[in-house]
Amino acid sequence: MPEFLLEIETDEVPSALRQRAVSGLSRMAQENLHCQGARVLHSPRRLALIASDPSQDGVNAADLTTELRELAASSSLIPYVRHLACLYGDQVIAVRSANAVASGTSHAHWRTHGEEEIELASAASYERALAEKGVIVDQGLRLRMVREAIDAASRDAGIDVDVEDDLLAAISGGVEYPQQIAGRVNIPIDLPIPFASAALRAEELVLIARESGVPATFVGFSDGKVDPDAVRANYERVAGSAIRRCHGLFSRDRAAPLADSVRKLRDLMDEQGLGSVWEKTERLRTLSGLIAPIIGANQGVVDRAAFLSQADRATWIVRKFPSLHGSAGANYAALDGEEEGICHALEGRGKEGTALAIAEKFDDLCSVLLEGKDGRDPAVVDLADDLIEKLTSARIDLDLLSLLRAVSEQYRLLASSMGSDDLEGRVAECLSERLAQRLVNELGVTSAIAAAVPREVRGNPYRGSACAVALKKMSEGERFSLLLGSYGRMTALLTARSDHHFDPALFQGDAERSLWREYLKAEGKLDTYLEEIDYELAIGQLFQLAEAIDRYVKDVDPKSGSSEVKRNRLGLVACVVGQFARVCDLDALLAVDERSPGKKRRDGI
Amino acid sequence: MGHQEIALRLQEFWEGEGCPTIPARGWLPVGGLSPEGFFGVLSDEPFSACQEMSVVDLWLSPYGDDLLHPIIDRRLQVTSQAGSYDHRKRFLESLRALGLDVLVHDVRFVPRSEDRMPSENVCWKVLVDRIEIGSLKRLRNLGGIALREEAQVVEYSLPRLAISLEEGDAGSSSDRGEQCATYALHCAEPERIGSLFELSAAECEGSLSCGLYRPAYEHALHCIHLASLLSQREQTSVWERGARIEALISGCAKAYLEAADA
Repeated sequence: MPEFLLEIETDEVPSALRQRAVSGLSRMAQENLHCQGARVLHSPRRLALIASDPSQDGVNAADLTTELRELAASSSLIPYVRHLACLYGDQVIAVRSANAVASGTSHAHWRTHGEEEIELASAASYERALAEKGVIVDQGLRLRMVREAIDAASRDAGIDVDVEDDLLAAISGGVEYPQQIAGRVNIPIDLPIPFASAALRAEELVLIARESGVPATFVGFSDGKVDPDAVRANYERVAGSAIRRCHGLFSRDRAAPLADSVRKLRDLMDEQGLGSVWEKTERLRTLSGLIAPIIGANQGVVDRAAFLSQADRATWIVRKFPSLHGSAGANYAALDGEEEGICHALEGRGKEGTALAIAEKFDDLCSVLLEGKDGRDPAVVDLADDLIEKLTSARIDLDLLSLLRAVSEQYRLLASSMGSDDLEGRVAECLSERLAQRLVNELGVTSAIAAAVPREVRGNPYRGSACAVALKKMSEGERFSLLLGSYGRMTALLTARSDHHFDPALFQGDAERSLWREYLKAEGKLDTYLEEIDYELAIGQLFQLAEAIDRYVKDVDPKSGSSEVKRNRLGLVACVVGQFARVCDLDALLAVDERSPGKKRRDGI
Repeated sequence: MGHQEIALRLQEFWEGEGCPTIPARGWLPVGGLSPEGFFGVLSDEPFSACQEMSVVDLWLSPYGDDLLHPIIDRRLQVTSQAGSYDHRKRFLESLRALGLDVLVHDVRFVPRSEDRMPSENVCWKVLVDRIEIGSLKRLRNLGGIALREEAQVVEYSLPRLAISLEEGDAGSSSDRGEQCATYALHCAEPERIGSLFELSAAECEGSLSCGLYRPAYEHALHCIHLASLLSQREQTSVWERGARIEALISGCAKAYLEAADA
């Protein structure tokens, strides 16, 4: 089967537009060429789609032209398009877009090879032909080249450097052929290394340094081959200027202690548009104050850290380098002589840092929901997933809905200004949805088991996860379907009007008394097991209750006897079912278990 | 080669490309187009000119003045509406005319999304060995008006070009720039500057109501400068003020076209 190649040469395109176009090309490969294994390659000056077994129907100039025009328009690519190349095997497909008509040629690196024309023989030889002319068109390969060069420079300096993925993507996404340029720069002795790193990062340079006050190495990357000795002096000028400017911001910030910046937060609006950052600080103090005792954090340290936590947002350094939020506050707090525990908390370290981080994430989640974003919005999904991950990985037994109720007044003020209400309902729905997704995708439970997590614990991600994991394990045993059967028979006896009261004096047989005794035993033990978040033991306790249920259902006719006796029997049944509901919602599993009477299995438990 | 000589060589180069030198402009706020360029590209006739000017960029104030990021920058702006003319190639040729070997140095065009820039306009900053020595813009829309012919605006920062050619010192700063930064950050009184902004905007609108688009445009440029000054003292959103300025600039463009049609 001939291979297909489409190349769109452009002027340098902003990365957001390029990402849109890359997604569009992937979609085109699937929907028009019906090709699942297509590759989309890109550099600052070109996008390429290579498909190894496209549908022949899809490879025609007219359809591809229509698709390409739509792609170019939807990704705002039109002003940037310079040239097109399109091949199917060795045949040129005359696709058109903007003012360009596709040919069988591409162009070399614009600076090092003067945009020399390259005759393309086939899609298979495309990457090699371009590489020979100074263009690595595979973004992944350029990224690996950049990462390896930084790693080698770090090893040479004997310093571990952790380079953020977005910086690597920016560097490799900004060049068609990365060539390493290393240089030296002086870091003033009082400038913290994270600040110097951020300053160089803004220039797409990577700082390799352990301490301030001594000349440090940095690494940058030119676009295409250059004479490193000729360009190094200018790279060093740029690095030096970045450090000087950063030091200028640092010096302005140090004119007053960090705590003085807190009052400026009254005039600084929150990014979500929900009141001022001062109000956010007040909410964080309340929230983290409630979380601290739950995780055993020092209340005084947490409160001071929460008070200072947003102050760095009013500093020049964070206004210019937002990624330093948190780290800048910790550095300034340390320079002001704040307690070590407070500085650590501001960086998210220790139990106090955990309390503060959870409070901040939860407040961010409430804020975006109040702003009107729905549960599928990427910002909401990211925040909820982070929060759930933080609570479950640290095994924190925290019911977020109870937390919200405790601070509801502060959010109610915001809700009225945002014209949004029922925040609790929206938070509950969002957490329930995201927790279920996590249980299915990351813990491998079925959607039925995720649905069997009781509604009351879905606002507590750690407890909800523990419940689901235990249910998954226990449901794999043979006895579990017997438990479901017992539960099903019990609930079949209940009516909507059954109340939860009974009088043991009215019991008339051994089966009733036996169920009552097992009920009392289960009630006490479930208190302990649920307190200890041991859902396996809790479910095990339900197995014991099931045996008494089976005897009860066999020996007792709840519809016989006086109305008082009948009401008393249903009251006992309702209370027993209530014990099951404390552990899990077996109704969700009954719906899919074929082994329980009258039910069909849909997707398994 | 000092930046005066660089300016002369570039003017010579662009005159050879059909862009005559016109009288220098005293000052311009960053992001603004000189009145000659603004009304020139809106006119019926294709416009080409090369003009030297001082550009004031108060957004740089918090960092302090630095020759690689000067608050008051001496620039050369070349505006041209010469059809399919490839200004990118001309930009490189102009660098070669200054003696820069582009095969040896890391020259890049880095795309830039400017706030509130119409999507049909595109802009790149031009870096030589990572020093931002200028920019290239392709304008299809100005003041909300679709241009009859695309305008390409090439801008050079003369001191930064001198540095990249290893003729300047990147470490020193200018007293003028430092004073501007200190004034913007510590001295300018936001309420008074806010009143000045309102007065300038009102004068712009008043001039427009008389059909006087040139003084109106000067007032609009003053508004841009005052807005950037205010933003150094306020941490609140400047979106509203930006929208007001956009409306003033658009008003100037429309008034010019109405006068030209009359």
